[in-house]
Amino acid sequence: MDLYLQFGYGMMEHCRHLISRWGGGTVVLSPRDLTSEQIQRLGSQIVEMNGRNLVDPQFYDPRATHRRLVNHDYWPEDFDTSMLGGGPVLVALLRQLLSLNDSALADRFIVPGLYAERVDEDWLAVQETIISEAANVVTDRPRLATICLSGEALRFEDQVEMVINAAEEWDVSGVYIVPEHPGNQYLVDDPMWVGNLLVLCSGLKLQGKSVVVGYCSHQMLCLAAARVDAIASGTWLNVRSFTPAKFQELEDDEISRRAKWYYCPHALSEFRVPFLDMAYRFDILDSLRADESLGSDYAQILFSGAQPTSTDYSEQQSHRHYLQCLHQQCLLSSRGSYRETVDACLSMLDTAESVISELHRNGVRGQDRDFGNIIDVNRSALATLEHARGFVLERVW
Amino acid sequence: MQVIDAQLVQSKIPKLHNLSLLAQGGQKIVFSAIHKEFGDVVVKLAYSSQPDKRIEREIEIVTSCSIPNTAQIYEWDTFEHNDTNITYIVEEFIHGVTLRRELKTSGRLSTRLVLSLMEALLETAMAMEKEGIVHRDIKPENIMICDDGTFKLLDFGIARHLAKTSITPTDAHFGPHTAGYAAPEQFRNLKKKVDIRTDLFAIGVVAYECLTGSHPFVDGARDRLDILRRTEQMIPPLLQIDGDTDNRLAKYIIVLMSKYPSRRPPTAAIAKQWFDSMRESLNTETE
Repeated sequence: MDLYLQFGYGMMEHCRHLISRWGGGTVVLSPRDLTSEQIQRLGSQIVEMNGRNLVDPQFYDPRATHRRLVNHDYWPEDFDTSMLGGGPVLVALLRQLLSLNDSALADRFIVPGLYAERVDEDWLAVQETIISEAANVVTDRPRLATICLSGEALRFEDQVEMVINAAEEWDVSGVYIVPEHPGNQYLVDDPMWVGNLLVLCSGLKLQGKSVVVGYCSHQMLCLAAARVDAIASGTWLNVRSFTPAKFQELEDDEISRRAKWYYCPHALSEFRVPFLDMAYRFDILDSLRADESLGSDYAQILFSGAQPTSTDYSEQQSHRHYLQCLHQQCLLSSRGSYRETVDACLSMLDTAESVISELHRNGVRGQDRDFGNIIDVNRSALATLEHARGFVLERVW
Repeated sequence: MQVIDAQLVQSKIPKLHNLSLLAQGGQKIVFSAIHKEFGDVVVKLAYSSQPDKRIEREIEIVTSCSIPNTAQIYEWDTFEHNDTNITYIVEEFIHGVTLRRELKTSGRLSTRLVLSLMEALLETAMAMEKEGIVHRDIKPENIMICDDGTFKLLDFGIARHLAKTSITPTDAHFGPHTAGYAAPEQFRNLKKKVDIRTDLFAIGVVAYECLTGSHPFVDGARDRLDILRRTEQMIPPLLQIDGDTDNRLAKYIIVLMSKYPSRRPPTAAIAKQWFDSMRESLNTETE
């Protein structure tokens, strides 16, 4: 499983830096955060560094009001629901979007898709219309259908299966899944939601489609068990979890929480620097250090012998450390068989549980980014996958 | 109203003699007979004021395709009698008993016999898949255990040729089905979703019933609607089968019976492939 960089606020330099360091990789460009000129410029730079680009149309809500997003040429000026029935307005939108993809040198095309409050025949009909129009407009590169589901829709097995059934007929080679996190949660504590996401991804993979899941945190490392091709993540929480609200004008680029976090990859948890001081005090700070094999030297300063809060550990280092570690964890999470991959996921959870337990004993806690309560959620979700598709995935991998 | 009797049939198909009524219902009647050329045969007749599209489709399917483990059709034709269209099929008489009768007599089947049954049904499903056909009515009543120990699948009366126009009206709430054996997408009349996986579901149910002697959806159900509800909502318990190390056979059957098509084997060929590899490990353990 690969890690794509989900573009968001403050990601420009991170993308250039990490793609250069990795010698390749994929950036999911965000029209909400970039003008068309910026998309063109950054897109070219990424390709020059041997990277690839995708343009997320972010057409989840055609009535979105976010200024930069709606200023793009492809965004319809006066949205009318009749355009979702197909015809010249939709074709024009797709052509404009193709032009933006061309300028970004994107070699795959994300077909726009609407946010589904619930999966029903109406939503599926709109999906089919957009996908079939896109097949006529975009003929020179692979197409990925957007599947943007509400947190509620993902709670229901029947709705997930409706998507899988319908997708059998879609003329696309892959999908770009955008799952709304329920209750605006960063780490999702609903095993049904995570389990159904696994079932959705694996069902689509079994159809031979490539699957990219957007707006992910490290919790989605478990998607390796569904043989997902890539998850996308970024710096701030609003690109590590998805809510349609971010496409409204009210939600601005202001990032309110400026606390610096340290991601401990083997604990699958993040800690604010003052909590690292606690680890320092109890002489267990070194147990939080990321394994060298993950290749992150960005947070080294925290382990230099000084009290963590007294160091110059920066926001930039925090983000790069997170993405570097997650990138390696993604690559390591894919194994040769379903059983090996699930075992690796479970082993990762066992390790995290043991590390977190020791940290908690010493007062080192991740607060709302502590994975302690999420471990069982992911275990349960993996059991859901096992129940739904374990037999099949053991044979088709 | 009795439209057809043995005398009429014999007069219209002179090569037949010794006709004996086997079954009668709806607008169909079935006789056993002796054919001068083919020996023991079954004669199925359907009568209506309009040509019977289903029996025509059945003839078309069985005669145009090479499907193993089915009864051979020798001849067919139509004639009119008292302003009624009568279509008949003369087909191979299978010497043996229906699986339903065997279940009534023996209660359940040995694991070895169930494996042979599954193998035959999966082979048939593979052949149907190649031809784009879905049987849609696999159940113990339509399966014969032949005297030589082989199995035959009968009655393509509601079979569907996926490339041809459906005979069932699209707006019908329920598609043609037998409750308890039909997959949810079949009885819900979701035509676009009916494919060979629909038959794999029924094969799973038949295997489950044969191994346990009880039907997971029918036994204990209040009525037909309750059977359909249970088919959609119930996950039958995993079977404990002697010699089934790691529950491979039990899990395989549950996968066939998944209520969602996406959770069943994607094709009959793959289902057979998985069956073969699973059976390899079972053979020494169950024989």
